[in-house]
Amino acid sequence: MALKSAIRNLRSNPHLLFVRLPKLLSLLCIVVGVAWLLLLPLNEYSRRTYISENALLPGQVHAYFTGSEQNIFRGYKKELQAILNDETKDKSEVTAGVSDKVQSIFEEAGLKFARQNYEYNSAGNTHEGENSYAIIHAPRGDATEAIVLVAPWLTADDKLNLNGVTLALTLARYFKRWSLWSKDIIFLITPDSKTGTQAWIDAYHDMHPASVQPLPLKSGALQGALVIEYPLEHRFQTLHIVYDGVNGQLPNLDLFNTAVSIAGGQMGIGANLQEMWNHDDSYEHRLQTMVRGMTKQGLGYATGAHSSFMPYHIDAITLQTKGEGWEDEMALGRTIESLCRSLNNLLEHLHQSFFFYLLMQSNRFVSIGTYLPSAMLLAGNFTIMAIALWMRTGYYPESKPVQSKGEKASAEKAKTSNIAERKLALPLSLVVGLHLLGLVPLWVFNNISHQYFTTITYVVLGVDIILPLSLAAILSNGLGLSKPLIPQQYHLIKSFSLLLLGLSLSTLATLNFSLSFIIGLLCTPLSFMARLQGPAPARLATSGLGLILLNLLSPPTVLLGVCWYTNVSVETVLTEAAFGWDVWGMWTQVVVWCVWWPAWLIGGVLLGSSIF
Amino acid sequence: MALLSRFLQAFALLFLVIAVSAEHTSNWAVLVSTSRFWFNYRHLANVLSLYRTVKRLGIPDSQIILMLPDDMACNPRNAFPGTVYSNADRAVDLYGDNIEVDYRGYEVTVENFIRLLTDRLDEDVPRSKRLGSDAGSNVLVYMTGHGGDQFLKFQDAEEIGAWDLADAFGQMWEKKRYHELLFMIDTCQANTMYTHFYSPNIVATGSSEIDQSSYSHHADNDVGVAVIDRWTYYVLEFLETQVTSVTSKLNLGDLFDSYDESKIHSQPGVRWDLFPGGEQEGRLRTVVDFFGNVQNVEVENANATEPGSLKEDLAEIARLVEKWQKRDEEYADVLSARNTTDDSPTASLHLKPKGRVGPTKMAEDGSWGKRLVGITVVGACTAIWIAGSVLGRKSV
Amino acid sequence: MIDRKFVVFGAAFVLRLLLICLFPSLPDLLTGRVEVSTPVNSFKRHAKSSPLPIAVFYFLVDLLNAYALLKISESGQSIKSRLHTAVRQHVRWDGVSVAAWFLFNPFTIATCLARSTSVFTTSGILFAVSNAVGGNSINAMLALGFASYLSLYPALLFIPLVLLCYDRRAQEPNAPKVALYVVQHAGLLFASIAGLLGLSCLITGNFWEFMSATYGFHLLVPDLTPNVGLWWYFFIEMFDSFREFFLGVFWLHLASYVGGLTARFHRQPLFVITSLLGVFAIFKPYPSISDASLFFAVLPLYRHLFPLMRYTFFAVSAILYSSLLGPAFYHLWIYAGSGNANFFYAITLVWSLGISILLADTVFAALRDEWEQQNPDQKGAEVRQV
Repeated sequence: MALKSAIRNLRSNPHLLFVRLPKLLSLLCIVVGVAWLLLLPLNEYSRRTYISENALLPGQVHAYFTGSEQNIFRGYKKELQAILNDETKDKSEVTAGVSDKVQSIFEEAGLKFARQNYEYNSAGNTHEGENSYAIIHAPRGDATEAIVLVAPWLTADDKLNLNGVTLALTLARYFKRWSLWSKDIIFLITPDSKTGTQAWIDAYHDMHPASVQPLPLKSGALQGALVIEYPLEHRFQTLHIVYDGVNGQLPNLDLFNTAVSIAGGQMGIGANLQEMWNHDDSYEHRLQTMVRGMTKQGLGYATGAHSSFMPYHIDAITLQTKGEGWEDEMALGRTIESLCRSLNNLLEHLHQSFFFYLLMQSNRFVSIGTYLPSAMLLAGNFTIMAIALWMRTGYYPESKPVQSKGEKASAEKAKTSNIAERKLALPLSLVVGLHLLGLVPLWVFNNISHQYFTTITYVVLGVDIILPLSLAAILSNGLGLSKPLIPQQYHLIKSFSLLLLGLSLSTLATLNFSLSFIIGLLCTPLSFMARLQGPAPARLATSGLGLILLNLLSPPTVLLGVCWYTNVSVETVLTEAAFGWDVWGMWTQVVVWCVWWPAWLIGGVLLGSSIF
Repeated sequence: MALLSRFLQAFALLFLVIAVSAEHTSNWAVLVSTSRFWFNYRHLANVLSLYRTVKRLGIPDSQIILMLPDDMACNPRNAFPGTVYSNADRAVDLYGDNIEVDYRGYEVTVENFIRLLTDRLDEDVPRSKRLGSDAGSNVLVYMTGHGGDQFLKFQDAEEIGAWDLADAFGQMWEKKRYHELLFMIDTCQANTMYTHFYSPNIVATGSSEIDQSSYSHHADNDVGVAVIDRWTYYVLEFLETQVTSVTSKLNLGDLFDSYDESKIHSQPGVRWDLFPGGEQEGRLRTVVDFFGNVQNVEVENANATEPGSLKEDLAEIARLVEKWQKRDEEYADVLSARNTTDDSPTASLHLKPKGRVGPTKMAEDGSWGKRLVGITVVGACTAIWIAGSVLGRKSV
Repeated sequence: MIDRKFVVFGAAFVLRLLLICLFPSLPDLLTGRVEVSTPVNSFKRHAKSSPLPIAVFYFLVDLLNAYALLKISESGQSIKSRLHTAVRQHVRWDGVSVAAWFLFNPFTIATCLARSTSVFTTSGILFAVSNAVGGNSINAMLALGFASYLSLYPALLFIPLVLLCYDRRAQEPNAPKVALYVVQHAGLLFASIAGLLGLSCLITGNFWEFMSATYGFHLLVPDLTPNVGLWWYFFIEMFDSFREFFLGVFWLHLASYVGGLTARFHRQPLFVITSLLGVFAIFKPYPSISDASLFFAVLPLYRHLFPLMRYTFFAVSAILYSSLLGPAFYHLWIYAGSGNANFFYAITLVWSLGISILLADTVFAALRDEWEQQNPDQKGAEVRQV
């Protein structure tokens, strides 16, 4: 009964139905969406990880990489060190010397060896290098599948990965002697963690640009990739597993679980993730891990040499050695041996476990079904508002026009002969136009040289202050260019803008949850932006304050703020972003400039129109 | 009078029981692994271990049907190529010598298994793939793989249900294909598989209760996989250490009493109620009644014509030879007929190509003739269109 | 002042040219998209690409289509036919706007850049209609014959098209009997199709193989590559023994709309064609966005019905959502390997739902329009856009 009367109440009170209720619903969506995310680290909502793929059998084999192999390792390392520290040679000679040494080691071990040169240009920088790689053909396999072991000369933190490369060389010699491989094993030595694997994997699938050489030597379909990073000159304490790929794509959870299980269970080396060194499994630490993971996923950049594999649906992780402890290169080698044996057991691509997950501890995660609603609720809040505004423009006249008696008759006549149609043309063109305008900063930020990035950011900051206000002035007063807008058109502008925002964010949520959530959260105020009414002083003050606050949430301000907080220069971030767009195929900038920025501008225009 | 008739009935029943418990005349074993893939190494090792035991106790290969869906010995992942072990000590190579696999790879299907039991195989299936048991045969059926509540998976794609199995045994009984049957199964929730059996003279035992998993016993860290399941391991332990020869007097009761739940980690089950005399009588059957070969061999009558006799075989071969000769002649006829007349009615002997629906390849033909035709066609179409425009306007 | 027509057509041409010059990989990318290319209209299935001249040829065909649309709009048939005059005659777009709406529709542009052969079918249909409203019934039948020859299904438009021709003819003195007129034109249609078939037979040589590879392919739906339609998933899941039965059911279902709509809207044959194009975009065996774009192209002819439509916002939202989510889910399914066919199919259902809502709403509006015309006193009462 109470419900019935409530519905009747709503019907009789259109203001409540069309104006207040949608706002409440939107707010509710936002609050529930955020609360949902905050609940995830609790035991009741997250799950312990488990291995779904029966074939993996992690840690069931003895790893024999020890003893005499250590002497080989030391020998290789000494040889490489001698070339690297040779001060009589210049840099290119050293690089060539190292490359020849790597080739001779691989070939002595009986592997087929090949090289690949590549060059990338981005934001006025040139990145060039040479990949070397070698293949063990599975002695009894059918050469249709392969596993990749990557050792970049420079780690993701730009440190010299001498131990890692040496370990890869030693493992190559060691693996070659086993006859139990069902898949080929490819050893890839790249000059750095950013470009090398990208060039190699692109060429492996014949998707490389002209500046990248094709591969002279190939194997079968790649089933998985492991990146080895050991930049330390002392024994290490734990392994840090990095798993984020480009555009927030993740490797199959089984690969991560296998690595954790082998490192932790079989080898007794702890495994960490997301730079959480002292994870005590408390709520705070779980949440922190999750948020760090979401930030990386949302930014969508390549977090290591493994990231480039992900777009090709090849599961890959990086194993980084961290801390000072008791574990030596042999322990890392055995971990990799055991991991390779597990991957070797695979019968098909990893597919049993999740591809969409948030990790909050090395053994705890939430899967997409559990976390997706939070981003969808945030996106849904915009859609609800958009639909409500559309209905409002059709059903609920903003203000009853005061009519004289003479006018009333004619108005009534007009009403019967003409059904009120919404005035769509201007709102539609404005919304579409502003979205297309987003292409301008997108193009600029990906095509100019990196030294101008900081300047341009401030220019966009200025544009963000001026553009909404000038548009608002034109729309509210006409200024001879058009008729002043009526309230319905403001609602329609907002409706279309929020519809597009909700649409884009919910689509994005299925591809990159974190990015969708972050942008959605930053855009939440836009649901409540509107042309204010009321007496001038109060209106001016509120809208002025609102504009200032809104500008604090504009894309360039957020960028500057984050850079200031993390103490990274804007130029670095934007150079990386441009590099991501040019080389990795990173889509983050498109979302920022063609989804977030236009929606933000329209929010600014609506609020700004209150001033005029 | 009534008393007399009841007495007679009781007597008849007693007689029947004696008749039933009469000794069997042959032993057969059907040993089935239902899973393939490297990580299921242990299931194949289970079966091969049992195969080795029944062979040791005297059942000849011709009376063992071995179904192995995969070849672990030749798997590239096998660190010891050509071998299969069921123990990490690797003392006994189960694949060592003299292995006769009757059904291998994708031949191991539910359909083939049921056809084998009920003898509904095609007439050209060789004898090695047939279960030649008769009303005097004791049959051992051992199965292992991945299962659940009342089903057992066959090779990922299909499964056999408890009812299917019960019906298969039911038919075997009706067709007099066994005298007594021992059914053993090692899988998760194994005991559910024999709940629906209804035909008599069956003793069934399984490794685990409903909702219980069966576990592997141990892994070989060099092979890298688990090599044997717990229940099978302890059954084999009993068979290998206690039943040392064909003359062993140990009975099924001893075997089932040897189950130790603390070692097996699941509750094995036994079903006696289908056996005449129930548990009491069943326990008395010796282990070698099922695992070993019968000792008092009945010399086959050389003139017998039932399936399996020499005479029957010879006659069958003669028939086959005749049949193939006839077929050859027919084929030669067809060939000669085709050579003489190209479109003769004999063409109907060949399968009519299935009506093709789909893209067909156009011949790459750059000849001027075709282009000329093309231009003419376009020209004609244009002309018709223009004519249409003129005429159409006029007609309005 | 330059003619608006030239500005629109020129701009459309330049836009297309710009797109392929700025993004040379775009045509091949679009050709590979299942939303654009189906087994029956895909460019790469019948030729290797030779870039610019072919592309320009396709642009010109697009412009021709727009021109036909402009003629249809200018004829005013959609507003005022022989038996029906719309109530809101003054609410309309002129021909150039209608053509612009067609030319700048992203779906049309995508179809054109993908060099889909659907544009020829579109030409056939649009020229058939434009000739019919222009009073040239012979060419209308020839064009319909061409379209049917290409894609089979346009033959279903014969009845409304003949009615449209007859409407035009009946306004002039000594109109022939309907039955005779229909038979004559049916003959003409058959003759044109037979002529074209004969010519193709002349070129390809083997008649039956040609027929089964073309019309058999349409009728029996052997290629179940995913597309935006409703057939492929259904026929993948179907037991083979029921395949023929359901093929019959599906085709019958598609054909049954012709009778119903023609009977109900016999006073507005052009509207029957419009709504049938919507039905085809949803229910034909290999639909692509080009079919939807043809439906969207003829909708503005009924601009005067827009005020009566109630669910446009929801229909447009559904179509927008599915246009974004469709490719995303396809990507997850095929490239990322983390989704599966069901998600993509769910989105194609949403897409079809969007077009269905639009179609149903248009039909509702047309009915309402007829009703208002018959009951002038009820005009405008209780119609609100939701």
